[in-house]
Amino acid sequence: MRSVILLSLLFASPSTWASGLVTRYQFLSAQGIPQGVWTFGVNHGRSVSDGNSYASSGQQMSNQNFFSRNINYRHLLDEINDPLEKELARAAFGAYEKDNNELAGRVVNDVEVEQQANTYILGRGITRRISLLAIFPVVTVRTRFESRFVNGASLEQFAAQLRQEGQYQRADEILEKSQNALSERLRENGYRPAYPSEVTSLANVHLNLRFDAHSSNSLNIVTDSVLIVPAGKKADVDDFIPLRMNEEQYSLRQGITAAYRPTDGLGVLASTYYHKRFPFQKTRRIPLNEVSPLSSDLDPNTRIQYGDTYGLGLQINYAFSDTWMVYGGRGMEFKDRDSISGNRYASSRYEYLEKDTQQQLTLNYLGFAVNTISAFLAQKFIIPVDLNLQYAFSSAGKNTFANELIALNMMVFYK
Amino acid sequence: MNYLFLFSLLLLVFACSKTGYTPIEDVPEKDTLTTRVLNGANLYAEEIDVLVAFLWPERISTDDQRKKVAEVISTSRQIRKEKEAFLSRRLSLKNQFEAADCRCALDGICEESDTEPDYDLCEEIEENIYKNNQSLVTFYQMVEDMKALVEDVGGEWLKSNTDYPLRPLSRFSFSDLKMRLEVFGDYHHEEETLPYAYSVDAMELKQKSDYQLLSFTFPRNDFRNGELIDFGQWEVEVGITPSEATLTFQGELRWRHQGRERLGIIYWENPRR
Repeated sequence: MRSVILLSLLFASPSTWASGLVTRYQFLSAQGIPQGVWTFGVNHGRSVSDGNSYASSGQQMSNQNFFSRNINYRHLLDEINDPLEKELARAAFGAYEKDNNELAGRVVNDVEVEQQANTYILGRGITRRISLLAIFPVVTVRTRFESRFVNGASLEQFAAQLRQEGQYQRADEILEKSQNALSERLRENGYRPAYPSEVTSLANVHLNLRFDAHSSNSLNIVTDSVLIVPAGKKADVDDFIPLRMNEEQYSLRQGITAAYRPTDGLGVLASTYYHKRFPFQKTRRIPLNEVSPLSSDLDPNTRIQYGDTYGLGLQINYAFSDTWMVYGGRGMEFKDRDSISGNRYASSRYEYLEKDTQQQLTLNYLGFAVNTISAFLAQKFIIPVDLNLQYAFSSAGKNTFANELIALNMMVFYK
Repeated sequence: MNYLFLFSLLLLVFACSKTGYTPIEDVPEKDTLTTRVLNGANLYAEEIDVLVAFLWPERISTDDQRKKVAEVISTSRQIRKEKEAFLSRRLSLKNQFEAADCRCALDGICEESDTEPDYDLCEEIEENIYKNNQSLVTFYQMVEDMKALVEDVGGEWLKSNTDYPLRPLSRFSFSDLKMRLEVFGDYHHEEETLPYAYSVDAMELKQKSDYQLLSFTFPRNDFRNGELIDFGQWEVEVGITPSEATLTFQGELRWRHQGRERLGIIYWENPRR
């Protein structure tokens, strides 16, 4: 089988969460762009949540369980901004024999996230071995979020005791405040009383230098050196759900892909990459405790370094002809824990921001591709185009959503 | 052509940003009705039996203060229980006294009746009334203890009729929701201390799901340089608890002055007629 020129790239649509791992389009390729040839491509990918996430243990659980938290009386005290009211509440809890570590209730959060990406690619073969590509992902993230506080038995008993002693307003205040805990907290701490339910933004610019290190009939090896230029919507410090699309700092990714063709039509590809991130300073809100990220304490000099990511991929292609191909693959990706520090508050508080930022994701994908380049060159088709339809899903992970993805990738070529 | 293509692409990409927000809605508060009728008020006397009011300190920062604040709260709970128990016993003894016609047996004030009053029973009832009244000593001592704690932590204790027993009793008029506070704090003038007195005309009464809430404001006075001047505003919001023996008002007291606010507690009772 003559080699099918598949000018797709080691390209994955960028993660919704800058530096985070999400289910996304992946396609391994060890081909460059021929010298003097331009390519323009569009990738449209849409991922949906199945309502589950992978916890830090790797266990799959519902998004509700993943995002919900138990609240004790100490957490309730942390939520009170006014120092005198906090002391009076502390004294009242003591007088009514409520221990700080006693369960007061549970914040139940229902979170669903869907992502759609339209990624634009512009590339050119610079030399016989060197190709340059610029990738502009425009991502839309749709979030649905609902939160409610479920009173624990202890809190209900506390309120009942207060009512029995004629302290109706105190009882009502506790129950009403707990029902409106989120909106109260947002107001008190200067947050926007809303969450970003739909965000569309450029999510960084990837400048990829692909080098054809080895090329033969049966084996191709390419290296990808990518500079990620931070671009797009930055996380707003007044949003209590921070959607981080912007990497906020330049970073580098180095990958290598090898494609082995043992027989005509069959291809086995293996790939690995390492994405190195660098520290920067930014204003962040520093939490008071491990369960609530809400805080009015801002540190403008928070030192942030998002965790490096690295991965392995394996893909098998089978080309029926010069035009049609099916493929399947699996990728495993890892992300290191974020490093966040500062001098304004106790170090333990900065560590709360690092919690559950270490990630893993195992992605599986299937697809088929149609490539008309050979037909175009043989004047049997009007345009040289590569179309690729993919279905991807996660099968394991840690601290990530369990999502599925459908993506369509189209590349056109001209000289 | 390629540069035009690139320019168009960049323009398309950078024009795409937008953010849509969904507000976080509050759980709506249960409907409350404004009313002018204080439930069951006709059963209770308009004279206020006991009134306790104080402001917490402006800040609580030491462990000693924290300990004492917790004691104040515990003592206030105990005071309420003790007073309620006292009033309940008093009502019960009053009913027993009337049922046994003890006014006739002990005081000789008799109405026409077929049965003779039981003198021994009435003596026993009177003895119990005396013992019950003695328990007030414990109650007032607890109030004094609480006062000492409040002042110790830097709070402000407001004098009431208990400290000025010769003054007329403060009154709460149920029918038109007005209040006359004969003693609510005091001041020094020349060589004596005099009480602040206030009349409260405008009150708001709300009917909640299972209780009534009374709120009102009135100006606070301060005596300086020989005259009473405006010293901010008192704000009161109290829940109302009717019981067999008493109608209890308890809740929050706030003092607002020149942008500052002090928190406190207020409590008073109207006993059963």
